[in-house]
Amino acid sequence: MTRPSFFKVAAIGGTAAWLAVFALLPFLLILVVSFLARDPSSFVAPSFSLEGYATIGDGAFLRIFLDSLAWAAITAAACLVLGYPFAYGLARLRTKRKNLFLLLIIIPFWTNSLIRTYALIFILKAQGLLNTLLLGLGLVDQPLEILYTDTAVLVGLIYTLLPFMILPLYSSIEKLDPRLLEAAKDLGAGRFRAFFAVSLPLTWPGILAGTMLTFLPALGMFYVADVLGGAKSLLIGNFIKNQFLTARDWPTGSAASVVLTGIMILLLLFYGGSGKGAPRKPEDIGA
Amino acid sequence: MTRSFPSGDEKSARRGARVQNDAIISLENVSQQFDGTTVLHDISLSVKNREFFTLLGPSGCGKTTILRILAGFETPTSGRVHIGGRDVTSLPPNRRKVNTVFQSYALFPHMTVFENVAFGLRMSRTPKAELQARVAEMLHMVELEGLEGRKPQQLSGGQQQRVAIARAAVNKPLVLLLDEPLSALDAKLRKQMQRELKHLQRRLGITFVFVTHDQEEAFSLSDRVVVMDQGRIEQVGTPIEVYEEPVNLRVAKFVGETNILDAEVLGQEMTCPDGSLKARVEGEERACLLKAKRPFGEGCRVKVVLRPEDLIVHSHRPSAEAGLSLEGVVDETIYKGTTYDIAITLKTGKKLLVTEFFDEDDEKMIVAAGQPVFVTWIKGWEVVLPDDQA
Repeated sequence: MTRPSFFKVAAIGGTAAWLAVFALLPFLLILVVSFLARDPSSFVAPSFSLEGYATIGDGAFLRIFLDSLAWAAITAAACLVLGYPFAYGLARLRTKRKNLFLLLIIIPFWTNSLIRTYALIFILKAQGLLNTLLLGLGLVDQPLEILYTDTAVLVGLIYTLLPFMILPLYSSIEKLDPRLLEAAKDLGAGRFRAFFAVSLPLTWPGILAGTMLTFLPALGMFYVADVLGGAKSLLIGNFIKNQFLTARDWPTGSAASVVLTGIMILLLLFYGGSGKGAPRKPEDIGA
Repeated sequence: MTRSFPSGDEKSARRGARVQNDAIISLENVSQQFDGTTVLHDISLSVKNREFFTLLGPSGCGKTTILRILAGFETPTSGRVHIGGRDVTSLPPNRRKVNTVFQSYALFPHMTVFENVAFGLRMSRTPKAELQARVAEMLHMVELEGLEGRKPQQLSGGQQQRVAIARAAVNKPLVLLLDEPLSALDAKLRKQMQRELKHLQRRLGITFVFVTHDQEEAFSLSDRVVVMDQGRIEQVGTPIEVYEEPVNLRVAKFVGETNILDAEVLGQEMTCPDGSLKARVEGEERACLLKAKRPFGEGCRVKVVLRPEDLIVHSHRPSAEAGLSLEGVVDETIYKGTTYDIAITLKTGKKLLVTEFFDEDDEKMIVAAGQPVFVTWIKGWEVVLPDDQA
């Protein structure tokens, strides 16, 4: 085909236009606002100022920022530890049940995650499902206080983000040839050494992708902390939201957003650079 | 080598094939079932030390399952497996002194050639200096020097094949298991690798257990061949034994081209030294004498197996002392360089294939399609088998 098809132009052009209007433009607005001065009456004053960056430069923001990174890291790690065995089992299942389980992972995406987060309240609250179950089984004497604690926020983050870990892991584990594990065992590797020498390096792209897809959103999911943490826990997302809606300090909120975005870009660059395995050089193949 | 068996299961050991003293592998009454389907029926086998032993059979005959049982990837439903005098029936693959060359090579794509070959030595915690020396020696042996730093996907099929062999052989296993290792190579490379495998086996001095569905490959490589079909052993023997004296029609049909004639036994001719059989072969009214290794009763239906190269084509009726001659018509002739194939339909409707060495000066050989001919065979080269409808 010599002439680019209408569909191709429309698909690429449409997507590009969508991203330009709804992603690039808002980000540029934020970037501009972050360098403007604060104005109590009209949110921002049209004059250059580094006040926003100065505000987030102090200790309080740094504290929230580091906490947030730690929370995101814990979330990503927990998702990895929970998700890897699950994805592994799933990838090794026979076709029919495999599709059913995949469907079960995808179904939650059909419901708004804010609503699902509210639903977690009914599971975690003092007289909720979890406590009723634990009391009924006699495992605890008193209802556990989970709701409105850090634990609840963590549970919420892990719950929401787990599928984003499982799906990339699943796709890379499924590509892992089981004969390679047989070969490793044949050559004297036990279960663990076969895993670390063969499975882990070969599913590394999936691990990296899953970590990115859980770590980065975990930094910004303010509503999980709001709904389940009872406003006691603060993530960067909460800080930014508060600057806009509560403190009415748009330049500071924008500055925090710009810093967060910058960090994400750095991490994504690192991810891209670490490569999903070294790119093949075509001239070497078949030499 | 310690011989720590027999263990508890004496009954099966008694029933099983006797373990020869120089047997490196012995399978005793091994059966394997998957989901209720029996893929191996009561297999007893022994492989001698330093032997090139081939499991030959059509796909699905159970040959690969035997290899996987030897490697430890499958545990037999019943029966015992001994390797190097030890009962290894329930030993996991990583604790067996055997290594496998996989059909698809199963090279580690994230490791270099060196790391692939060194893998087994690393697992056995071989000291660094020894590891380097052994990997280098092995790579030299399979002619892969200079490619240590390459990744498997940067190698040709033949090179990947050598890495797979080196990776398994560098561990100095008691037995090297090879699962159709040459099936992915083109015909020319395949022939070359066959020769190299044979040389490698002599140099390494270890037992090779080789799986293939290619009879020619099996014959050209092996000291002994076991022909399998549908989870059962049909015949064990040297390539010559299996080819010249197939024990039944299944083996006869599987190994090489065959012509099978129907015959009826008229009686035993006791005066002849080989216990010859008086019989009437299809397409010939006169009775003739056949060489048979086993007795057949009068009136018994038998099959006479003749290889294409056993048959001789005549354009004129041969004299009576040439024995029986079968009348037919040439369907086509196929010139193959060194040999010359002639397809013939007998008067009875049976189709025969004859292979003759090509000799352009030999007038009688030049036959054309549609020409009436007479077929005889070299006396005593026939194999008489019971008509078991295989």
